[in-house]
Formats: sequence, structure tokens, C-alpha cells
Amino acid sequence: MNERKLIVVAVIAYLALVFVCWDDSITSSPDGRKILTFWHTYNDQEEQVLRSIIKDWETANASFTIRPVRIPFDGHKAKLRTALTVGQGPDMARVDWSFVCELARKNSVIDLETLGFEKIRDQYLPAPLKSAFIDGKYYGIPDQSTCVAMFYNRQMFKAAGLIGPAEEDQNKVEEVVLPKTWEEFIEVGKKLTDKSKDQYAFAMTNTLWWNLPFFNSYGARIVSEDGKKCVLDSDSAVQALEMMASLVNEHKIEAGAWRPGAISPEQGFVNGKYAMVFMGPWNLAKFATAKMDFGVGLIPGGTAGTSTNVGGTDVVIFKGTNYAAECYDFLTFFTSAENQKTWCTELNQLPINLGAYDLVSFDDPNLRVFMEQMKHAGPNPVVKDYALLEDLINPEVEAVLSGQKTAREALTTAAKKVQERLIDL
Amino acid sequence: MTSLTALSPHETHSAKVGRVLYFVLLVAIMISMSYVISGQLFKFAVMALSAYVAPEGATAVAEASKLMSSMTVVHNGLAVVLTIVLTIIVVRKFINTGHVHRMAFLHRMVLYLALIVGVVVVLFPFFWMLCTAFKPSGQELVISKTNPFDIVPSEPTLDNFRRVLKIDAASKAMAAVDAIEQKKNFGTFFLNSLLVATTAAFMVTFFAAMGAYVFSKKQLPYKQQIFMLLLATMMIPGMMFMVPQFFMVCKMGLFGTKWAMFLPHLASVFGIFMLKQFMDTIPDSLIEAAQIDGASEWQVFRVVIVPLAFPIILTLFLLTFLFHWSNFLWQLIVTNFENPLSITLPVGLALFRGQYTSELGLIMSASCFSIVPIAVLFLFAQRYFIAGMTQGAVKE
Repeated sequence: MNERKLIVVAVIAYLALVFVCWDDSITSSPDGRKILTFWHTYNDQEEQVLRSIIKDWETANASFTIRPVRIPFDGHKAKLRTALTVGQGPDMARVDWSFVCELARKNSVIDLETLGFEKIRDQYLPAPLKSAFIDGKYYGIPDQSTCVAMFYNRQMFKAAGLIGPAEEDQNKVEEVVLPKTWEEFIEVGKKLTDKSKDQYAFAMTNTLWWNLPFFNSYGARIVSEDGKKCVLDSDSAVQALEMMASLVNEHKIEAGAWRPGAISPEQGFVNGKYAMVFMGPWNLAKFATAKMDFGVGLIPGGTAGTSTNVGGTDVVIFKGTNYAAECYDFLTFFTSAENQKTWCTELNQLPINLGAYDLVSFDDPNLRVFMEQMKHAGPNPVVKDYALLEDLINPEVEAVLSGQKTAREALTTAAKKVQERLIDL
Repeated sequence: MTSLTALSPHETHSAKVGRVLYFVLLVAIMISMSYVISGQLFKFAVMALSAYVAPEGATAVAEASKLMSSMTVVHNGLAVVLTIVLTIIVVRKFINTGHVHRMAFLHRMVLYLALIVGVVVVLFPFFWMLCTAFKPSGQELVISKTNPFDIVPSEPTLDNFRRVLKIDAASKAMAAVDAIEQKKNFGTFFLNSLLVATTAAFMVTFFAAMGAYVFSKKQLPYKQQIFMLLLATMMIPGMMFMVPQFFMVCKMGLFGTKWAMFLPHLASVFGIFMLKQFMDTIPDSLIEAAQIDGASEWQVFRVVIVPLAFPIILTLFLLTFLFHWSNFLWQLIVTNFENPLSITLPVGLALFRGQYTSELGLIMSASCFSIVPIAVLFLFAQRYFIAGMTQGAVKE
């Protein structure tokens, strides 16, 4: 009897659930305006600023309305790929920088030169723009850009005597001994490493994107300018990788955070185990609320001076749209200097528009370091399948870090693999 | 050997002393475990209470933290009291136990202590999840310097829960924009997933049970070959089906509906296989007996087969429910993001993750809610579930 009651309750609950959820029609006011769909991956705060910018654009373009649709960043590539195959794609979308090449080679996005992009092209930061430059044409506009710089733990620097005694005297600017070159970095690193306390000067992850600052600071590139040749086996790349490996093997100032199962750089940094890590500006606000005592400096320079990687996203317009000109108009409005100023001041992000560099003034000195670092960013490798590029190179670099291969051996193998399986295919 | 000496009437004095020492050692372990575990649990309760009491706003974290530190005595005291009470109970029990039974008592105590360790190991990740859900942004990864096992945050906040349920100030402002934004909340995602997962689980088990019955008990030409053909489809990775299935769903005009979420997965070869393996063990004579009594085909299925195969059917139900409850990729593909009423939980949870940053606090607090149905299902069905898992495994 009891069991029967349970079943009855379950059935009633199920029917109620069906009643509540089955209907998926939703009322949105059709007001005669033409709808442009914009798929994005912004978070809550970003979406609010986006909506206010959209509102401004709509007042100037009364016959159009833009519908921002948030999709999860984790699945945006899969979602776009499948949606485009059946023609369910949006008019425009914000995509990861590494995805633009695939979209362009698959002929899904519009070449922006046809819409007059060459006139305003120069106002964007060169490094992020390069990620949208595929086979001689521009297919995307950078809308958000990041890079990594060197975060350092000020308490650990003080303990190692690397921050000058300006504590008592408020007027005196305190002096921080920040390494400007990799040689200085190693020297400073030795002072900060104390294995008895399980404390290391530096921690890194081994994935290509995170390793680009090393390669870029030696002027090494992964793929040649025209995208036809893998140049990973160049002398400068070997030099960069040898230096990286020496941090781990010879000087032992790196914590081995790249090993599987190790404490990640972020976690180790937050808990005062690692004194210096490479991280992006997205962590500034987080660390500030966690009341951490940290600072940001430029990445040490190699033979080509300080440099870093470029991350972030581009906005693209799809061939399926009927209103390419309007989409283009909105996207250039969205990334214009004035709107970038609003965007960056409200969200504490780096501008991608060179015009906005003069308009934005951040209170946070760390963010200013990032703006400076961004100017020295090297371009990312533009390939059809960036994930595969990572998969081909990372194991080889790991072999060098763990001392199984020499840098030249590993990079020659990696370059050959990339050439055969990614570029020539 | 020890149990033999314990039962012997002529036991030596040293054996008695040995037992008492053994007992003291176990009690010491028990006391330390009890203090640590109950200390964390009471601290968690105090933490949750002070997070709840503190008003929403900029100073909430500071206030909650102050309140919590003022109640340090309370949770430490409760932990001490509980430990003392527990110790007294155990010691009295030990004293009241006759000498002959003391060794058995000690063995049982060891067993319980070992089980408690097991429970802690299993539940620790869940406890960690709960604790992280209360941590303010930026502190999720911070580990206490004084005691790394003390994972209860000292600066608690309910903001993560508020943001997940969209009852914080910013979300309310967003919701005011239009009807679509109002519907974009965790409740919608949760109910959608519940509907999709239960419907799919019901239908899959229903069809799979009927299919398995035929393959197991009925005569039909080329039965074995057809079954092999079905099994062969299990060799094809699910990814291969994804694009064609998506194409079909779109052609049927089901894109963005709840049908699309489960319709392509209703034919479960794995389900048929699992149920068939079990039904093979049901004697044919039972079915013949029912047929002699005049049972129709449907009655045989309903009265004989389903009750006998119930544990395994329930197992399949749970497995299917779990699969659909967490099936991210397919649901992502068929979700129409312009209509939040079609967003399900795994997809909704993914919206909390950015390009480089994950809002760990938000993900954890959302996960706290998302494990509830699974936990409830397991509680109700655990007996059958465990029975079913092993019954299908061996074919005699």
C-alpha cells in the first residue's frame, strides 16, 4: 500500500513538472524592427555594459534591434559549428581568437575588407588584430584582449630583501627589484626559492599559449607570417626553450607546477608558495578582494626584450546574415575608442582600440603595467585547429622540461609534426 | 587467535591489561576524530548561520566574519561537549561489557572507526563543495595557513547562492529588462533538466524493457543476428551520431524544444543489452505457467517479467537519468539560447565559466542544488541499485 502511495505521488509530481515546464513559447515584443542576433560569451557585468552600448546604437539606428544571446564559452565552438551547418547561426558572434581561422577557412565569415575595414584598421592594437588576419584578409575585429604579465608576491619579495625599506617613510617611493632580463630573473629567483619551506620563486603551466611569452621574448615564432610553414625549430626558439628548461633543471627555481597533479600556479600563488607567476588581468579584481599583497611587473626580456602572448576574443559577421553592413556598423561602434573607454573603465579591462589608450586612465597601477605589457605583445600562431597545435607541441616541451630530450631535438620533432599534420594537411 | 584467548576462562592478567590499553588507544583515535569532524560540522553550521543573518550589501562579508568569530566559543564548545559525551558513552559501554565480550567490542569499535574514515573520505569532496559555495569571490583557492584541513571559510557570504538563484541586486536589474531575462534563472534550468531527465529515463526503460523481453524470450527469425547488429552499433562512438542527429532534429522542427533533448537517445542499445542479460536468467517455465493460466502477452510482460526484473529496470532508470542530467554536449547543441526556457542545467552551469576565469563559488553553489535529485533518487533506490549493478554483471 505504501509503495502504491509513493508511485501516485511520483506520478502527480511528474505531471505537475510537465505542466510547469512543457510550454517553451516565450513572449518577446515584436515591434517591427529588424532583429540582429549577436551571440556572445560575456559574463553578467559585461553583458550589462554591452546592453547599454546596444541601446546607444539602437537610438541611432531606429529600424534595427540587436538581441544579445549569451552562450557558454566552454561550448561556443561546438555550438557554432553545428548551428552553422543547419543555417541556425546568428548574424554575428564573439568567438575565441583561435576560432577565427577555422571559421574563415570554412568560408563561414565575411571578409571585412569588403565592408571598408581597411579605413579603420589601424586604430586596433596590432597583436590582437593579427589573430584575425588569415590568408591576407581580415575576418574579425578584436573586441576584448588580454595578455599575461608577471604577478609577484610582495610579502615574499620583502622577506627576500627585494623591496627597499620605504615602509616607514611614506614620501619615499619604495624600490622593488624586478627582474628585467631572464638572467636577472634567475638571480632573483634563487633568492626567493627556499625548498625547506616548500617555497619557489616561479611556477608555470606547460601549454603553448602560456609558453608564448618565453618564445616571444626571444623573438621566436611558431608559424611563419604567411601561415605556410612551422618555424618552431629556429635558433631563437631553441634558445627560449633551453632557458625555460634551465629554470626547472639547472637553477631549480621553478616549482614543477607544469607536472600533472601539481599545485597550479594560481593556487600556489594565492597561498604564498610561489613568489612569481604569469597571469592575466582577469585575476586582478579577484586577488584584490582576497586582500592579497601583490604587484605586477613586465615579463623579463630575452634577446627581443619583454614580450607576452595575446588572448581574448574577436567579433565576426557570418555569411548567412542579410544585414552585413548594419552588423559591421554595430561592431565598429562597439569597438570604437569612446565605447572602449566606457567598457574598460567600468570593467577594468584592457582596451583594444589604440584611441582608447589615451582616454582610459586606470587608478590601479597594476592595470597600467598590463597596458604597457600589451604594447609589447607578440602575435599568436594562426592555424586552422589551434587545439591540435597545442596537442602536438605540449608533449615535446614537457619532454624537455623533464630532461628527456634536448630543446633542439624536441622542437625539430614538434615542427615536423605541426608541418605534416596541421599545415600541409 | 585473539578471539580464542578472549573466550578462554583462564586468561592472564596481562591479556586484560592489553585489552584496556588497546581500548585506550582506540578511544584516543575516536576522540581526535570526533573533535575534528564535529568541530568542522559545528563550525560549518555557525558559518552558514552567520552568512544567513548578515544583511546583503558591501559590508556583509565583514559582518558575517565578525559574527562568526564571536561564536568561535560556541562551535568549539559544542565540539568539545559532543566529544566528551561520546567518550563517556563508549567508556561506560566498555566497562559494562563482560570480560569475555570485550575483544568483540573492540573489534566492532575498530570496524566503526574504519567506516567513519570511509565516510569522511567519500563525503569530504561534498563538504568542500558546500564550503566553497560560501566563499567570497577570489578566496575559493585560499587554504588556511594554520590548519590546511580547516576548509570552512571564516569570511562567509551567501552571494554565490543569491547570484545563482538570481535574487541579487544586479540580476534583478537585468531581469527588469524583459520577459526573456526574467526566465533566465537557475530554477528554470533545474526544472527543465528534471523534466528532460525523468521523461527520458521513463521512456528509455519502457522501450528497453519491451525490446529486451522480445530478444530474451520470444522466437523471431534472425533474432541473434539482429541482436548482434544492434550491439555492433555500440562500437560507433557517440560523437559520430551527433551531427546527423542534429540535422534530423532540425528537419523535424524540434530545434530548441524539450523533445530534441531526449528523442534521439530513446533507443538505448545498452539498455536492451543490460536488461536482456538479466531476463535470460528468468526461467521460461514461469512464463509458460502464466500462459497456461490464460495470461495475455502484455500480462506476461507486466506481471511476470517486470516485477522480476525490477532491480535491473530501476538501475537502467537511474543510469539514464544520470546520463541526461549531465549530458552537456548534446543539450548545448540543441539549445536555443534565444529562448531561456530551453536551457537545461548542465548548459546553464557552463554559463558561469568564462574564457580564463571560472566563478568557482558560483559553480559550487549551483552544484549544491544540482546534486539534490541524484542524491534523493539514490536514497530511495539504493538497495535495488546496488543489487541490479551486480546482478546484470554475471550470467550463469
